[in-house]
Amino acid sequence: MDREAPPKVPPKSILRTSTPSLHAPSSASTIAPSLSRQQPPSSNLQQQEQPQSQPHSKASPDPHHLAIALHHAHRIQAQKDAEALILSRILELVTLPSSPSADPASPSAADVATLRAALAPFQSSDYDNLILERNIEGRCGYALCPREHRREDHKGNFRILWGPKSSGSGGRGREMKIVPREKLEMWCSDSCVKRAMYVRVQLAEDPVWERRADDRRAKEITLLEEPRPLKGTNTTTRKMDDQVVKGGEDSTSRSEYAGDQTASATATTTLPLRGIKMSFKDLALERGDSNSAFRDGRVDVQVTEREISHDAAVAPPMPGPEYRHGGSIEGYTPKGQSSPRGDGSD
Amino acid sequence: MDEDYSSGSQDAEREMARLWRTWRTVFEMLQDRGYEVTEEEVQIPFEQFKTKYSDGLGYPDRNKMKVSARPTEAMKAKYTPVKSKSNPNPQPECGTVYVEFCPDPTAVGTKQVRTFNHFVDEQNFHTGIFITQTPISPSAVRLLSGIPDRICEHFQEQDLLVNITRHELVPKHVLLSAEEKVRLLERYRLKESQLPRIQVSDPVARYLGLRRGQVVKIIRRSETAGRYASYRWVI
Ligand SMILES: [Zn+2]
Repeated sequence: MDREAPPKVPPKSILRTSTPSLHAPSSASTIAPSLSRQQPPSSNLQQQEQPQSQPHSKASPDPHHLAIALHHAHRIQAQKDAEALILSRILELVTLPSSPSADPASPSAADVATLRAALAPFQSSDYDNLILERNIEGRCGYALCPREHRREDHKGNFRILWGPKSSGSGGRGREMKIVPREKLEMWCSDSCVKRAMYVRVQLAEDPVWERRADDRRAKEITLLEEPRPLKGTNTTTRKMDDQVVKGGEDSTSRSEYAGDQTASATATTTLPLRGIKMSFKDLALERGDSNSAFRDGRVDVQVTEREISHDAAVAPPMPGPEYRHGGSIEGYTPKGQSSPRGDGSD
Repeated sequence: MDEDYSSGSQDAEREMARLWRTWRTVFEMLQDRGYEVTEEEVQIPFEQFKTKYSDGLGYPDRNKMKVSARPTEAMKAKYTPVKSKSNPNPQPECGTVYVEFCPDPTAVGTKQVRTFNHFVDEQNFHTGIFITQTPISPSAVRLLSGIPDRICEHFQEQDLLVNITRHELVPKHVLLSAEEKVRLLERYRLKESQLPRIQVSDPVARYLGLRRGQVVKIIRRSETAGRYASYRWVI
Protein backbone atom coordinates (compact mmCIF):
# COMPACT_ATOMS: atom_id res chain seq x y z
CA MET A 1 0.00 0.00 0.00
CA ASP A 2 1.29 3.39 -0.89
CA ARG A 3 0.61 6.10 1.59
CA GLU A 4 0.79 9.65 0.47
CA ALA A 5 0.72 12.76 2.50
CA PRO A 6 -2.86 13.77 3.25
CA PRO A 7 -4.07 16.45 0.88
CA LYS A 8 -5.26 19.44 2.81
CA VAL A 9 -8.96 19.30 2.21
CA PRO A 10 -11.55 19.02 4.95
CA PRO A 11 -12.87 15.47 5.10
CA LYS A 12 -16.51 16.42 4.90
CA SER A 13 -16.37 17.71 1.36
CA ILE A 14 -14.50 14.67 0.11
CA LEU A 15 -16.94 12.21 1.51
CA ARG A 16 -19.89 13.85 -0.13
CA THR A 17 -22.34 11.37 -1.56
CA SER A 18 -25.75 11.43 -3.12
CA THR A 19 -27.51 11.92 0.20
CA PRO A 20 -25.14 14.22 1.99
CA SER A 21 -27.08 14.95 5.11
CA LEU A 22 -27.55 11.28 5.86
CA HIS A 23 -23.98 10.29 5.23
CA ALA A 24 -22.19 13.14 6.84
CA PRO A 25 -22.56 12.04 10.47
CA SER A 26 -21.56 8.45 9.86
CA SER A 27 -18.62 9.20 7.61
CA ALA A 28 -17.38 11.88 9.95
CA SER A 29 -17.35 9.42 12.78
CA THR A 30 -15.55 6.79 10.70
CA ILE A 31 -12.74 9.17 10.14
CA ALA A 32 -12.77 10.71 13.57
CA PRO A 33 -13.64 7.89 15.92
CA SER A 34 -15.80 9.40 18.55
CA LEU A 35 -13.76 10.27 21.56
CA SER A 36 -16.41 12.55 22.85
CA ARG A 37 -16.95 10.55 25.99
CA GLN A 38 -13.68 11.90 27.33
CA GLN A 39 -14.63 15.42 26.53
CA PRO A 40 -15.31 17.84 29.33
CA PRO A 41 -19.02 18.52 29.69
CA SER A 42 -20.06 21.11 27.25
CA SER A 43 -21.47 24.35 28.50
CA ASN A 44 -23.78 24.55 25.57
CA LEU A 45 -27.31 24.29 26.88
CA GLN A 46 -28.66 23.04 23.58
CA GLN A 47 -26.89 19.79 24.07
CA GLN A 48 -28.61 18.58 27.15
CA GLU A 49 -30.10 15.56 25.47
CA GLN A 50 -27.25 13.66 23.90
CA PRO A 51 -23.94 15.38 24.30
CA GLN A 52 -22.07 12.25 23.23
CA SER A 53 -23.62 12.09 19.81
CA GLN A 54 -22.06 15.30 18.66
CA PRO A 55 -20.34 14.34 15.42
CA HIS A 56 -17.83 17.18 15.25
CA SER A 57 -15.67 16.17 18.14
CA LYS A 58 -12.69 18.36 18.83
CA ALA A 59 -10.46 15.47 19.78
CA SER A 60 -8.12 14.88 16.88
CA PRO A 61 -7.88 11.38 15.44
CA ASP A 62 -4.70 9.45 14.76
CA PRO A 63 -3.12 11.43 11.89
CA HIS A 64 -1.88 8.26 10.30
CA HIS A 65 -5.36 6.77 10.11
CA LEU A 66 -6.66 10.06 8.86
CA ALA A 67 -4.12 10.06 6.07
CA ILE A 68 -5.14 6.62 4.93
CA ALA A 69 -8.82 7.45 5.13
CA LEU A 70 -8.30 10.64 3.13
CA HIS A 71 -6.25 8.84 0.53
CA HIS A 72 -9.02 6.32 0.01
CA ALA A 73 -11.69 8.99 0.07
CA HIS A 74 -9.86 10.85 -2.68
CA ARG A 75 -9.58 7.78 -4.81
CA ILE A 76 -13.24 6.97 -4.36
CA GLN A 77 -14.21 10.53 -5.17
CA ALA A 78 -12.02 10.54 -8.28
CA GLN A 79 -13.64 7.35 -9.41
CA LYS A 80 -17.13 8.69 -8.80
CA ASP A 81 -16.38 11.88 -10.69
CA ALA A 82 -14.95 9.93 -13.60
CA GLU A 83 -17.95 7.62 -13.73
CA ALA A 84 -20.31 10.57 -13.74
CA LEU A 85 -18.31 12.20 -16.50
CA ILE A 86 -18.29 9.04 -18.62
CA LEU A 87 -22.03 8.63 -18.15
CA SER A 88 -22.68 12.17 -19.37
CA ARG A 89 -20.39 11.51 -22.35
CA ILE A 90 -22.34 8.36 -23.18
CA LEU A 91 -25.58 10.31 -23.08
CA GLU A 92 -24.01 12.88 -25.39
CA LEU A 93 -22.67 10.32 -27.85
CA VAL A 94 -26.00 8.50 -28.06
CA THR A 95 -27.33 11.53 -29.91
CA LEU A 96 -24.58 11.61 -32.56
CA PRO A 97 -24.29 12.13 -35.48
CA SER A 98 -25.68 15.65 -35.52
CA SER A 99 -27.35 15.23 -38.89
CA PRO A 100 -29.75 12.38 -39.72
CA SER A 101 -28.27 12.22 -43.21
CA ALA A 102 -24.66 11.98 -42.05
CA ASP A 103 -22.46 9.46 -43.80
CA PRO A 104 -20.43 7.31 -41.40
CA ALA A 105 -17.78 6.94 -44.11
CA SER A 106 -17.18 10.67 -44.23
CA PRO A 107 -18.39 12.19 -40.99
CA SER A 108 -18.50 15.91 -40.38
CA ALA A 109 -15.43 17.44 -38.80
CA ALA A 110 -17.47 18.70 -35.86
CA ASP A 111 -18.85 15.25 -35.08
CA VAL A 112 -15.41 13.69 -35.30
CA ALA A 113 -14.07 16.29 -32.90
CA THR A 114 -16.95 15.66 -30.49
CA LEU A 115 -16.40 11.93 -30.62
CA ARG A 116 -12.66 12.12 -30.08
CA ALA A 117 -12.96 14.56 -27.20
CA ALA A 118 -15.73 12.58 -25.55
CA LEU A 119 -13.93 9.25 -25.77
CA ALA A 120 -10.81 10.45 -23.95
CA PRO A 121 -11.71 8.99 -20.53
CA PHE A 122 -13.33 5.84 -21.94
CA GLN A 123 -12.31 2.26 -21.35
CA SER A 124 -13.52 -0.36 -23.78
CA SER A 125 -16.26 -1.38 -21.35
CA ASP A 126 -17.58 2.19 -21.36
CA TYR A 127 -17.53 2.09 -25.14
CA ASP A 128 -19.54 -1.14 -25.06
CA ASN A 129 -22.04 0.60 -22.81
CA LEU A 130 -22.33 3.35 -25.40
CA ILE A 131 -23.03 0.77 -28.13
CA LEU A 132 -25.68 -0.82 -25.92
CA GLU A 133 -27.34 2.52 -25.23
CA ARG A 134 -27.40 3.37 -28.94
CA ASN A 135 -28.90 -0.01 -29.73
CA ILE A 136 -31.59 0.49 -27.10
CA GLU A 137 -32.56 3.65 -28.93
CA GLY A 138 -32.67 1.67 -32.17
CA ARG A 139 -29.50 3.14 -33.63
CA CYS A 140 -26.41 1.59 -35.14
CA GLY A 141 -23.71 1.08 -32.50
CA TYR A 142 -21.17 3.22 -34.34
CA ALA A 143 -21.41 6.71 -32.92
CA LEU A 144 -21.09 8.52 -36.25
CA CYS A 145 -23.72 6.45 -38.04
CA PRO A 146 -27.30 7.76 -38.20
CA ARG A 147 -28.83 4.51 -39.44
CA GLU A 148 -30.86 1.98 -37.50
CA HIS A 149 -29.20 -1.17 -36.29
CA ARG A 150 -29.97 -4.44 -38.03
CA ARG A 151 -32.86 -6.49 -36.79
CA GLU A 152 -32.91 -10.12 -37.66
CA ASP A 153 -36.40 -11.45 -38.17
CA HIS A 154 -35.62 -15.07 -37.58
CA LYS A 155 -35.44 -16.64 -34.20
CA GLY A 156 -32.35 -18.52 -33.16
CA ASN A 157 -29.29 -17.26 -31.45
CA PHE A 158 -26.65 -17.70 -34.13
CA ARG A 159 -26.14 -16.73 -37.75
CA ILE A 160 -23.82 -18.29 -40.25
CA LEU A 161 -21.91 -15.87 -42.42
CA TRP A 162 -20.17 -17.03 -45.60
CA GLY A 163 -17.01 -15.41 -46.85
CA PRO A 164 -16.22 -14.74 -50.50
CA LYS A 165 -15.27 -17.56 -52.87
CA SER A 166 -12.08 -19.45 -52.08
CA SER A 167 -11.77 -17.89 -48.68
CA GLY A 168 -11.99 -21.23 -46.92
CA SER A 169 -9.11 -23.17 -45.49
CA GLY A 170 -6.43 -23.94 -48.05
CA GLY A 171 -7.99 -21.51 -50.52
CA ARG A 172 -10.88 -23.81 -51.29
CA GLY A 173 -14.57 -23.29 -50.64
CA ARG A 174 -15.92 -20.46 -48.58
CA GLU A 175 -14.99 -19.42 -45.16
CA MET A 176 -17.73 -19.89 -42.60
CA LYS A 177 -18.22 -17.72 -39.59
CA ILE A 178 -20.72 -18.29 -36.81
CA VAL A 179 -21.83 -15.11 -35.16
CA PRO A 180 -24.16 -14.64 -32.22
CA ARG A 181 -27.32 -12.91 -33.34
CA GLU A 182 -27.08 -10.09 -30.80
CA LYS A 183 -23.57 -9.24 -32.05
CA LEU A 184 -24.91 -8.87 -35.57
CA GLU A 185 -27.80 -6.75 -34.41
CA MET A 186 -25.54 -4.12 -32.86
CA TRP A 187 -24.78 -2.54 -36.22
CA CYS A 188 -26.35 -1.44 -39.47
CA SER A 189 -23.68 -3.09 -41.60
CA ASP A 190 -20.34 -4.86 -41.54
CA SER A 191 -18.61 -1.58 -42.41
CA CYS A 192 -19.83 -0.07 -39.17
CA VAL A 193 -18.51 -3.04 -37.20
CA LYS A 194 -15.09 -2.24 -38.58
CA ARG A 195 -15.35 1.46 -37.96
CA ALA A 196 -16.52 0.95 -34.39
CA MET A 197 -13.97 -1.73 -33.55
CA TYR A 198 -11.18 0.33 -35.06
CA VAL A 199 -11.95 2.95 -32.44
CA ARG A 200 -12.51 0.46 -29.64
CA VAL A 201 -9.06 -1.09 -29.79
CA GLN A 202 -7.48 2.31 -29.30
CA LEU A 203 -9.18 2.92 -25.97
CA ALA A 204 -7.20 2.64 -22.78
CA GLU A 205 -7.38 -0.52 -20.77
CA ASP A 206 -7.07 1.10 -17.38
CA PRO A 207 -9.68 3.37 -15.85
CA VAL A 208 -9.10 7.08 -16.23
CA TRP A 209 -8.61 7.70 -12.50
CA GLU A 210 -5.61 5.38 -12.55
CA ARG A 211 -3.93 6.92 -15.56
CA ARG A 212 -1.00 9.26 -15.44
CA ALA A 213 -1.67 12.87 -16.21
CA ASP A 214 0.55 12.81 -19.29
CA ASP A 215 -1.05 9.71 -20.73
CA ARG A 216 -1.42 10.32 -24.44
CA ARG A 217 -3.35 7.29 -25.47
CA ALA A 218 -6.87 8.55 -25.38
CA LYS A 219 -6.09 11.83 -27.06
CA GLU A 220 -4.93 10.20 -30.23
CA ILE A 221 -7.99 8.27 -31.23
CA THR A 222 -8.16 8.04 -34.98
CA LEU A 223 -10.92 6.88 -37.22
CA LEU A 224 -10.77 4.17 -39.80
CA GLU A 225 -9.27 5.60 -42.96
CA GLU A 226 -11.88 5.30 -45.66
CA PRO A 227 -11.76 5.83 -49.38
CA ARG A 228 -14.55 7.85 -50.91
CA PRO A 229 -17.14 5.43 -52.30
CA LEU A 230 -16.48 4.97 -56.02
CA LYS A 231 -19.66 5.67 -57.96
CA GLY A 232 -21.73 3.88 -55.40
CA THR A 233 -20.25 0.47 -56.21
CA ASN A 234 -20.76 -1.13 -52.91
CA THR A 235 -18.54 -4.12 -53.51
CA THR A 236 -15.42 -2.13 -54.24
CA THR A 237 -15.94 -0.09 -51.12
CA ARG A 238 -16.28 -3.20 -49.09
CA LYS A 239 -13.14 -4.69 -50.60
CA MET A 240 -11.17 -1.59 -49.84
CA ASP A 241 -12.40 -1.65 -46.28
CA ASP A 242 -11.07 -5.15 -46.06
CA GLN A 243 -7.69 -4.10 -47.30
CA VAL A 244 -7.47 -1.19 -44.94
CA VAL A 245 -8.05 -3.16 -41.83
CA LYS A 246 -6.41 -6.32 -42.99
CA GLY A 247 -2.73 -5.83 -42.78
CA GLY A 248 -1.46 -6.73 -39.37
CA GLU A 249 2.06 -7.86 -40.11
CA ASP A 250 1.89 -6.61 -43.67
CA SER A 251 2.53 -3.06 -42.59
CA THR A 252 4.45 -1.75 -45.56
CA SER A 253 1.76 -2.41 -48.10
CA ARG A 254 -0.70 -0.90 -45.70
CA SER A 255 1.05 2.38 -45.27
CA GLU A 256 1.67 2.59 -48.99
CA TYR A 257 -1.99 2.14 -49.48
CA ALA A 258 -2.69 4.83 -46.99
CA GLY A 259 -0.25 7.12 -48.76
CA ASP A 260 -2.01 6.61 -52.07
CA GLN A 261 -5.31 7.27 -50.54
CA THR A 262 -4.68 10.29 -48.41
CA ALA A 263 -4.71 12.59 -51.39
CA SER A 264 -8.15 11.55 -52.49
CA ALA A 265 -9.55 10.34 -49.24
CA THR A 266 -12.22 12.18 -47.40
CA ALA A 267 -10.45 12.90 -44.27
CA THR A 268 -9.07 16.18 -43.28
CA THR A 269 -10.05 15.03 -39.84
CA THR A 270 -8.44 11.62 -39.79
CA LEU A 271 -4.74 10.95 -39.71
CA PRO A 272 -3.00 8.87 -42.33
CA LEU A 273 -2.29 5.37 -41.21
CA ARG A 274 1.43 6.00 -41.14
CA GLY A 275 0.74 8.46 -38.35
CA ILE A 276 -1.22 5.92 -36.41
CA LYS A 277 1.52 3.43 -36.77
CA MET A 278 4.02 5.91 -35.47
CA SER A 279 1.89 6.76 -32.48
CA PHE A 280 1.48 3.09 -31.67
CA LYS A 281 5.24 2.73 -31.77
CA ASP A 282 5.70 5.65 -29.40
CA LEU A 283 3.07 4.22 -27.20
CA ALA A 284 4.66 0.83 -27.08
CA LEU A 285 7.98 2.42 -26.19
CA GLU A 286 6.38 4.45 -23.50
CA ARG A 287 4.78 1.42 -22.00
CA GLY A 288 7.93 -0.65 -22.28
CA ASP A 289 6.18 -2.92 -24.70
CA SER A 290 8.80 -3.51 -27.36
CA ASN A 291 6.61 -5.56 -29.64
CA SER A 292 4.81 -2.81 -31.49
CA ALA A 293 3.12 -5.34 -33.71
CA PHE A 294 0.96 -6.23 -30.77
CA ARG A 295 -1.53 -3.43 -31.22
CA ASP A 296 -1.65 -3.78 -34.96
CA GLY A 297 -2.17 -7.45 -34.46
CA ARG A 298 -5.05 -6.70 -32.21
CA VAL A 299 -6.60 -4.46 -34.81
CA ASP A 300 -6.44 -7.28 -37.25
CA VAL A 301 -7.97 -9.84 -34.96
CA GLN A 302 -10.66 -7.60 -33.60
CA VAL A 303 -11.79 -6.17 -36.87
CA THR A 304 -11.83 -8.88 -39.45
CA GLU A 305 -12.07 -11.93 -37.19
CA ARG A 306 -10.72 -13.84 -40.13
CA GLU A 307 -7.36 -15.17 -41.14
CA ILE A 308 -6.38 -14.17 -44.63
CA SER A 309 -5.12 -17.30 -46.25
CA HIS A 310 -2.07 -16.25 -48.27
CA ASP A 311 0.17 -14.98 -45.54
CA ALA A 312 -1.60 -16.50 -42.58
CA ALA A 313 -0.53 -20.07 -43.32
CA VAL A 314 1.54 -20.59 -40.24
CA ALA A 315 3.07 -23.99 -39.90
CA PRO A 316 2.14 -25.84 -36.74
CA PRO A 317 4.99 -26.11 -34.26
CA MET A 318 6.97 -29.23 -35.00
CA PRO A 319 8.25 -31.07 -31.98
CA GLY A 320 12.00 -31.58 -32.13
CA PRO A 321 13.60 -35.01 -31.86
CA GLU A 322 14.09 -34.56 -28.11
CA TYR A 323 10.34 -34.59 -27.72
CA ARG A 324 9.90 -37.92 -29.42
CA HIS A 325 9.22 -39.56 -26.14
CA GLY A 326 7.24 -36.79 -24.58
CA GLY A 327 10.18 -34.64 -23.51
CA SER A 328 11.16 -33.88 -19.96
CA ILE A 329 8.88 -33.25 -17.06
CA GLU A 330 10.22 -30.36 -14.99
CA GLY A 331 13.72 -31.31 -16.02
CA TYR A 332 13.31 -35.02 -15.52
CA THR A 333 13.37 -37.14 -18.62
CA PRO A 334 11.57 -40.44 -18.24
CA LYS A 335 13.74 -43.26 -19.53
CA GLY A 336 13.03 -46.24 -21.70
CA GLN A 337 9.53 -45.27 -22.82
CA SER A 338 9.77 -45.40 -26.57
CA SER A 339 6.11 -45.60 -27.40
CA PRO A 340 5.47 -46.37 -31.04
CA ARG A 341 2.72 -43.76 -31.30
CA GLY A 342 4.75 -40.86 -30.03
CA ASP A 343 6.61 -40.42 -33.29
CA GLY A 344 6.02 -36.88 -34.47
CA SER A 345 7.63 -37.10 -37.90
CA ASP A 346 5.70 -37.93 -41.02
CA MET B 1 -60.08 -19.02 -34.26
CA ASP B 2 -61.70 -19.82 -30.94
CA GLU B 3 -58.64 -21.77 -29.93
CA ASP B 4 -56.33 -18.93 -30.81
CA TYR B 5 -58.45 -16.59 -28.84
CA SER B 6 -58.55 -18.79 -25.78
CA SER B 7 -54.80 -19.49 -25.83
CA GLY B 8 -54.24 -15.77 -26.14
CA SER B 9 -56.44 -15.05 -23.19
CA GLN B 10 -54.74 -17.77 -21.18
CA ASP B 11 -51.47 -16.07 -21.93
CA ALA B 12 -52.86 -12.78 -20.77
CA GLU B 13 -54.25 -14.35 -17.63
CA ARG B 14 -50.88 -15.88 -16.77
CA GLU B 15 -49.08 -12.59 -17.26
CA MET B 16 -51.66 -10.77 -15.16
CA ALA B 17 -51.26 -13.33 -12.38
CA ARG B 18 -47.48 -12.89 -12.30
CA LEU B 19 -47.78 -9.16 -12.28
CA TRP B 20 -50.38 -9.30 -9.52
CA ARG B 21 -47.88 -11.14 -7.31
CA THR B 22 -45.22 -8.51 -8.01
CA TRP B 23 -47.73 -5.76 -7.33
CA ARG B 24 -48.61 -7.21 -3.95
CA THR B 25 -44.95 -7.56 -3.01
CA VAL B 26 -44.45 -3.90 -3.89
CA PHE B 27 -47.19 -2.93 -1.43
CA GLU B 28 -45.81 -5.22 1.25
CA MET B 29 -42.44 -3.63 0.68
CA LEU B 30 -43.84 -0.12 1.01
CA GLN B 31 -45.64 -1.18 4.18
CA ASP B 32 -42.52 -2.82 5.63
CA ARG B 33 -40.49 0.30 4.93
CA GLY B 34 -43.04 2.36 6.82
CA TYR B 35 -45.08 4.08 4.14
CA GLU B 36 -48.80 4.75 4.45
CA VAL B 37 -50.59 2.00 2.58
CA THR B 38 -53.89 0.46 3.50
CA GLU B 39 -54.49 -3.20 4.20
CA GLU B 40 -56.97 -3.25 1.26
CA GLU B 41 -54.23 -2.06 -1.07
CA VAL B 42 -51.85 -4.74 0.15
CA GLN B 43 -54.47 -7.46 -0.08
CA ILE B 44 -55.97 -6.52 -3.45
CA PRO B 45 -57.79 -9.59 -4.86
CA PHE B 46 -56.78 -10.86 -8.29
CA GLU B 47 -60.11 -10.08 -9.94
CA GLN B 48 -59.97 -6.50 -8.79
CA PHE B 49 -56.36 -6.14 -9.90
CA LYS B 50 -57.32 -7.50 -13.32
CA THR B 51 -60.18 -5.08 -13.84
CA LYS B 52 -58.09 -2.17 -12.76
CA TYR B 53 -54.82 -2.79 -14.60
CA SER B 54 -55.50 -4.72 -17.79
CA ASP B 55 -56.11 -3.46 -21.30
CA GLY B 56 -58.99 -4.35 -23.62
CA LEU B 57 -57.43 -7.72 -24.51
CA GLY B 58 -56.85 -8.73 -20.91
CA TYR B 59 -53.09 -8.05 -20.99
CA PRO B 60 -51.42 -5.90 -18.37
CA ASP B 61 -51.42 -2.17 -18.97
CA ARG B 62 -48.35 -1.08 -17.05
CA ASN B 63 -48.91 2.56 -17.93
CA LYS B 64 -51.66 2.54 -15.30
CA MET B 65 -49.45 1.00 -12.65
CA LYS B 66 -48.13 4.00 -10.78
CA VAL B 67 -48.22 4.39 -7.03
CA SER B 68 -47.11 7.00 -4.56
CA ALA B 69 -47.16 6.81 -0.78
CA ARG B 70 -46.23 9.08 2.11
CA PRO B 71 -44.11 8.02 5.06
CA THR B 72 -45.91 7.31 8.33
CA GLU B 73 -45.03 9.29 11.45
CA ALA B 74 -43.18 6.23 12.72
CA MET B 75 -41.05 6.13 9.60
CA LYS B 76 -40.30 9.83 9.82
CA ALA B 77 -39.18 9.41 13.42
CA LYS B 78 -36.91 6.56 12.43
CA TYR B 79 -35.34 8.59 9.65
CA THR B 80 -34.72 11.71 11.72
CA PRO B 81 -31.05 12.25 12.58
CA VAL B 82 -30.12 12.91 16.18
CA LYS B 83 -29.92 16.48 17.37
CA SER B 84 -26.48 18.01 17.34
CA LYS B 85 -24.89 21.40 17.58
CA SER B 86 -24.57 21.67 13.81
CA ASN B 87 -28.06 20.25 13.28
CA PRO B 88 -30.19 21.44 16.20
CA ASN B 89 -33.49 20.88 14.45
CA PRO B 90 -33.09 17.74 12.31
CA GLN B 91 -35.65 16.94 9.63
CA PRO B 92 -36.66 13.41 8.65
CA GLU B 93 -34.61 12.13 5.73
CA CYS B 94 -37.49 10.46 3.98
CA GLY B 95 -40.50 11.58 2.01
CA THR B 96 -43.05 10.53 -0.54
CA VAL B 97 -42.15 7.47 -2.57
CA TYR B 98 -43.18 6.95 -6.17
CA VAL B 99 -43.33 3.56 -7.90
CA GLU B 100 -43.61 3.07 -11.64
CA PHE B 101 -43.78 -0.03 -13.81
CA CYS B 102 -41.97 0.39 -17.12
CA PRO B 103 -44.20 -0.72 -20.02
CA ASP B 104 -41.31 -1.50 -22.41
CA PRO B 105 -40.93 -5.28 -22.67
CA THR B 106 -37.19 -5.22 -23.49
CA ALA B 107 -34.23 -2.92 -24.00
CA VAL B 108 -34.53 -0.52 -21.11
CA GLY B 109 -31.72 1.99 -21.01
CA THR B 110 -30.90 5.59 -20.22
CA LYS B 111 -33.77 6.79 -22.38
CA GLN B 112 -36.49 5.43 -20.09
CA VAL B 113 -34.54 6.15 -16.92
CA ARG B 114 -34.05 9.74 -17.94
CA THR B 115 -37.81 10.17 -18.28
CA PHE B 116 -38.36 8.49 -14.93
CA ASN B 117 -35.73 10.62 -13.18
CA HIS B 118 -37.19 13.73 -14.70
CA PHE B 119 -40.65 12.89 -13.39
CA VAL B 120 -39.38 12.08 -9.89
CA ASP B 121 -37.47 15.34 -9.82
CA GLU B 122 -40.27 17.44 -11.22
CA GLN B 123 -42.86 16.04 -8.80
CA ASN B 124 -40.40 16.45 -5.95
CA PHE B 125 -40.63 12.84 -4.79
CA HIS B 126 -38.04 11.87 -2.23
CA THR B 127 -37.66 8.32 -3.48
CA GLY B 128 -38.43 6.68 -6.81
CA ILE B 129 -38.74 2.97 -7.53
CA PHE B 130 -38.48 1.93 -11.16
CA ILE B 131 -39.68 -1.57 -11.99
CA THR B 132 -38.88 -3.19 -15.33
CA GLN B 133 -39.55 -6.51 -17.01
CA THR B 134 -35.94 -7.10 -18.08
CA PRO B 135 -32.55 -6.02 -16.74
CA ILE B 136 -31.60 -2.42 -17.46
CA SER B 137 -28.32 -1.29 -19.01
CA PRO B 138 -25.30 -0.45 -16.81
CA SER B 139 -25.47 3.20 -17.82
CA ALA B 140 -29.14 3.28 -16.87
CA VAL B 141 -28.31 1.87 -13.43
CA ARG B 142 -25.74 4.59 -12.96
CA LEU B 143 -28.05 7.30 -14.18
CA LEU B 144 -30.80 6.12 -11.85
CA SER B 145 -28.60 6.36 -8.78
CA GLY B 146 -27.21 9.72 -9.83
CA ILE B 147 -29.97 12.24 -9.10
CA PRO B 148 -28.61 14.54 -6.44
CA ASP B 149 -30.54 14.55 -3.15
CA ARG B 150 -33.00 11.93 -4.30
CA ILE B 151 -32.96 8.19 -4.08
CA CYS B 152 -33.95 6.11 -7.08
CA GLU B 153 -34.02 2.35 -6.99
CA HIS B 154 -34.56 -0.34 -9.56
CA PHE B 155 -36.16 -3.75 -9.35
CA GLN B 156 -36.99 -6.31 -11.95
CA GLU B 157 -40.53 -7.66 -11.82
CA GLN B 158 -39.22 -11.14 -11.20
CA ASP B 159 -37.21 -9.96 -8.16
CA LEU B 160 -40.51 -9.21 -6.50
CA LEU B 161 -42.58 -12.21 -7.63
CA VAL B 162 -41.98 -13.66 -4.20
CA ASN B 163 -41.49 -11.61 -1.07
CA ILE B 164 -38.16 -12.94 0.15
CA THR B 165 -38.58 -11.48 3.61
CA ARG B 166 -41.60 -13.75 4.13
CA HIS B 167 -39.46 -16.82 3.67
CA GLU B 168 -39.08 -18.77 6.91
CA LEU B 169 -35.29 -18.97 6.60
CA VAL B 170 -34.88 -15.22 6.23
CA PRO B 171 -34.57 -13.65 9.69
CA LYS B 172 -36.45 -10.48 10.47
CA HIS B 173 -34.51 -7.32 9.66
CA VAL B 174 -35.45 -4.15 11.52
CA LEU B 175 -33.93 -0.78 10.78
CA LEU B 176 -32.70 1.10 13.85
CA SER B 177 -33.51 4.78 14.14
CA ALA B 178 -30.59 7.19 14.28
CA GLU B 179 -31.11 7.49 18.01
CA GLU B 180 -31.30 3.74 18.57
CA LYS B 181 -28.09 3.38 16.66
CA VAL B 182 -26.31 5.88 18.89
CA ARG B 183 -27.58 4.12 22.00
CA LEU B 184 -26.53 0.72 20.73
CA LEU B 185 -23.00 1.88 20.00
CA GLU B 186 -22.77 3.49 23.42
CA ARG B 187 -24.06 0.49 25.24
CA TYR B 188 -21.50 -1.80 23.66
CA ARG B 189 -18.79 0.86 23.47
CA LEU B 190 -18.39 0.24 19.77
CA LYS B 191 -17.59 2.22 16.72
CA GLU B 192 -20.04 1.46 13.94
CA SER B 193 -17.16 0.15 11.83
CA GLN B 194 -16.70 -2.59 14.42
CA LEU B 195 -20.12 -4.05 13.70
CA PRO B 196 -20.56 -6.88 11.23
CA ARG B 197 -21.67 -5.54 7.87
CA ILE B 198 -24.46 -5.89 5.37
CA GLN B 199 -24.17 -4.55 1.84
CA VAL B 200 -26.72 -2.17 0.34
CA SER B 201 -26.93 -4.64 -2.53
CA ASP B 202 -28.06 -7.46 -0.22
CA PRO B 203 -31.55 -8.54 -1.31
CA VAL B 204 -33.10 -7.78 2.07
CA ALA B 205 -31.26 -4.44 2.26
CA ARG B 206 -32.61 -3.61 -1.19
CA TYR B 207 -36.10 -4.64 -0.15
CA LEU B 208 -35.99 -2.36 2.89
CA GLY B 209 -34.27 0.44 0.97
CA LEU B 210 -31.42 0.54 3.50
CA ARG B 211 -28.80 3.24 3.10
CA ARG B 212 -25.12 3.30 3.86
CA GLY B 213 -24.38 4.12 7.46
CA GLN B 214 -27.61 2.75 8.89
CA VAL B 215 -27.68 -0.13 11.35
CA VAL B 216 -30.14 -2.97 11.02
CA LYS B 217 -31.15 -5.38 13.76
CA ILE B 218 -31.49 -8.99 12.71
CA ILE B 219 -33.73 -11.17 14.82
CA ARG B 220 -33.35 -14.91 14.53
CA ARG B 221 -35.13 -17.74 16.21
CA SER B 222 -32.94 -20.39 17.66
CA GLU B 223 -33.91 -23.70 19.22
CA THR B 224 -31.45 -23.29 22.05
CA ALA B 225 -31.61 -19.59 22.75
CA GLY B 226 -35.14 -18.65 21.76
CA ARG B 227 -34.79 -15.36 19.94
CA TYR B 228 -31.55 -13.55 19.60
CA ALA B 229 -30.60 -10.36 17.88
CA SER B 230 -27.53 -9.28 16.01
CA TYR B 231 -26.69 -5.98 14.38
CA ARG B 232 -25.25 -5.07 11.01
CA TRP B 233 -23.82 -1.87 9.69
CA VAL B 234 -25.00 -1.08 6.16
CA ILE B 235 -22.12 -0.42 3.76
ZN1 LIG C 1 -23.90 2.01 -39.02
